Amino acid sequence: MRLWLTAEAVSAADGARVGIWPDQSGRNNEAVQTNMSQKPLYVAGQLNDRPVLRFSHVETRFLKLPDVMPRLQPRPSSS
Amino acid sequence: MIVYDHALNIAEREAVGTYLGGKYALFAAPSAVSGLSATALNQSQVNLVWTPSNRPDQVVYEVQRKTGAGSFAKIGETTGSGFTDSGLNAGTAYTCRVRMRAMSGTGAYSAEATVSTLSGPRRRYPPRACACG
Repeated sequence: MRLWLTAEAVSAADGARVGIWPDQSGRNNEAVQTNMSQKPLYVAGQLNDRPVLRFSHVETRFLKLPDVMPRLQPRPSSS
Repeated sequence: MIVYDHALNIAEREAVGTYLGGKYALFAAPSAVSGLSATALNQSQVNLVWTPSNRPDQVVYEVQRKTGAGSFAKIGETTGSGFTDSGLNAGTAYTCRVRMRAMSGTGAYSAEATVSTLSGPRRRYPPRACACG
């Protein structure tokens, strides 16, 4: 597993903006956004009574991910 | 959102889907498979077809069969809406049923369908004693 993002791992109040979405995979690939106006919203009780993060294309709310699938380095030449 | 570093096999997809489907109640449990019909193809094969569900959380269909008053046993799985059962005995009645396994649970069995394989080849004439030579 390279990445596991679940809104249940976010500690925020209902309606709050979220700048860091912690990665539950153990690889520390958290998704981040430093621009306050572009941070997604934490909304409680939305999916089977569980929280979600609400993104918006119109309002340009998004988080940035690191490269969770870095390409393998080529093997050194044997010669 | 979960990202893996390899393509998940069927068992892994089912495990992840069952976990997420149950946790977030994404889909209702599947209903029983409908429209099952069975047709004998020859002396050793039977073809089963049923109405496809087109559920997004479908994993696989489980096919079971029995003979006579015996017990049902699983004979195979398929992701399609048909199955060919092979290696059967000629002139024998088989009863089949199908159920769907989905990420949100396992559906009830379909109505049973019974079909008989075709009988063995008929002799065209009785053997005769050879009066050669």
